[in-house]
Amino acid sequence: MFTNEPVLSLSQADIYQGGRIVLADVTFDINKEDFVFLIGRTGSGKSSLLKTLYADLWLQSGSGRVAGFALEKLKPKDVPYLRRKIGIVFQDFQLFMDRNVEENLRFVLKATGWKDQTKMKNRISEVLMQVGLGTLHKKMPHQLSGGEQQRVVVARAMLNEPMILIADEPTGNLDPAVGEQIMQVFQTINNSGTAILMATHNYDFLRKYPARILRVEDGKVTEQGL
Amino acid sequence: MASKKKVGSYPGGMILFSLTSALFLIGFCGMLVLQSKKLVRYIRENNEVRVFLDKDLDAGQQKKLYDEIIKKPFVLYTGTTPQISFVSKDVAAKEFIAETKEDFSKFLNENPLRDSYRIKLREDYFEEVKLEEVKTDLESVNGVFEVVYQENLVDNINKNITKIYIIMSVFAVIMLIIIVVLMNNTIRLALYSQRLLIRSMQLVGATNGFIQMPFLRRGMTQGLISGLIAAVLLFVLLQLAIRNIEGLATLQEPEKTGILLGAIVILGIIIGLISTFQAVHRYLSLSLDELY
Repeated sequence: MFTNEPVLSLSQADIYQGGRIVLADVTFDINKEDFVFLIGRTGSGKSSLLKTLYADLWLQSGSGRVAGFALEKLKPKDVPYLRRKIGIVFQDFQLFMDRNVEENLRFVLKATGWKDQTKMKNRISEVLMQVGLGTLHKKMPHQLSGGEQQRVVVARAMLNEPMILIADEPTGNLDPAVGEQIMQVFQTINNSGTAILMATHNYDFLRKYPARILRVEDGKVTEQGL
Repeated sequence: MASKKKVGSYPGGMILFSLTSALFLIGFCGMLVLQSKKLVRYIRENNEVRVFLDKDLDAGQQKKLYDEIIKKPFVLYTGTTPQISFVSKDVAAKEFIAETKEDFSKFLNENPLRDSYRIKLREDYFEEVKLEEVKTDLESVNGVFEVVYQENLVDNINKNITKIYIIMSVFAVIMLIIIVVLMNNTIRLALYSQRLLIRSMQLVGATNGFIQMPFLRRGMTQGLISGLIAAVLLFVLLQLAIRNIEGLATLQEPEKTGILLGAIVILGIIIGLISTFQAVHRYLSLSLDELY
C-alpha cells in the first residue's frame, strides 16, 4: 500500500550506551528514497544511534519508528522482524569465509524463514545482479577483492528487500577507487527506491554525491546543508 | 578446504561420555532399586508369624481357629488360598531335632512342643509396629497360646533399604547436576566460538528459535545416543550378573527392566534437551556486547 509515512523517524529520542546518555533530544525523519549521510567524529555517538535504530540498543526515552516498528514499544521477540525490514552493512559484519557467495546468501535467506529453493535461487541472482556480481555465485570470499566482498555484503543486506539500508562505515577498509564503486552501488539501490542511511568519514562522498547530511556533534544530531 | 562452521556444533565427546556415565549410574541405581524391591518383597512375603495353639484343642476347635484367622486382613493370599500352614507338634519336634541335632525324646517322656499355624503376612504389614498389632490381635483369639515372630529383622531391613535408597538418590542428583553444569559450560564455549556467526544471524533477522534449533537438535541427539549406550551397557551388565550370581534370575521382572531401560533413553533425551535449552536461552538473552 502506498504511504507517505517516513521509513524512519526519531522524535525527542535520547540515545544511551551502557547507561550513559550519548545523544539527547534526537529528532529527524528519513523518507523512502532519501539518501542520508551521518557524519561525526569517532566516539561522537554515530554507532550508538545506528544500534538504536536496529534495536541492538533499546530506545529508553522519546519515540522512534523504523520500517513500521515503534522502537519505544519494541519487544525482544519483534527485533528479528524489524531487522528483516532493514539492511545492515558495516565493517565487522563479515562474510563467512568457509562457504561461497551463493551459500553465504542462502544461509541468510534460510535464517530469515525462506523455504522455497527456486525462490531463494532467483532472489540470490537478483541481488547479485543488483550489485554487479552476477557471475560470481560459486566464488569463495577469499577469491574476491575487498570491493567485491563488500558488494556481496551489500547484496546480503538487500536479500529481504529492506525499506532502508543502514551502513556504518561501509567503505572504511577500502581504497578510494573501490570505495567509489561501493558508493555507486548504494546510489543504484537508492535510485530503485530504498532509503539509505550511511555513516561515513569520507567527506569526498559528501561533495561527489550531494545528499542530506546529519551531523553528530556535542551530544546532538543536527541537519546540515552542503 | 576447512569444514563449514555449523551453528550448534561443539565438541561433543566429553558431553557424550559424561552423559552416558551419568545415565548408566542412574540406571544402575534404578536396577538396584528394582532388584532390592523384589528381594525385599520376597523376604517380606516369606516372613512367617508362628501361632502356637493351646495344648488341649481338638480338631474341630483347630478348624474353627483356622477359619477365624484366615479372615484377618493381614493374611497373605495367593489367588484364593490363604498362606497358612498347620505344623503339628510331632512335625515341629522332627524339625527341632533336625535343626539342633538334639533328640529331647530320649530324656523327656512327652513332646513339650505345641501345634502351630505358620502365617505368611501381606507385604504392607512388614513393620515392627504393625507386627506387634498382629501379635496382640492373634493372641486375643481363643485357643491361641502364643504368637512369635522374628523381632528386629523387620526394622533392620527397612532401615538399611531406606539408607541405600537415600544414598542412591543423592548420587543420582549429584550426577545430574554435574552433567547440567558440564553441558552449560560446553555450550557457553560453543556460543563464544560461534559468536560472529550468531551475531550475523541476529543482525539479518534470524529468530532466537532458529538459532537455538541446531543446538537443541544436537543436545537431543547426544541425549538419545548416551541413553542408548547406557541402556545397552546396563542390559549387558544385568545379563552378566544373572549368569554369575546364583538366584538373581528368580528376582527378574523383564517388563520392569524394559521400562527402566526405556526410561533411561527418554531421560537422556530430556536431560540433553533441557540442559541445552537453558544454556542457549541464557546466552542468547545476553546483549551482543555481553556475549563478546
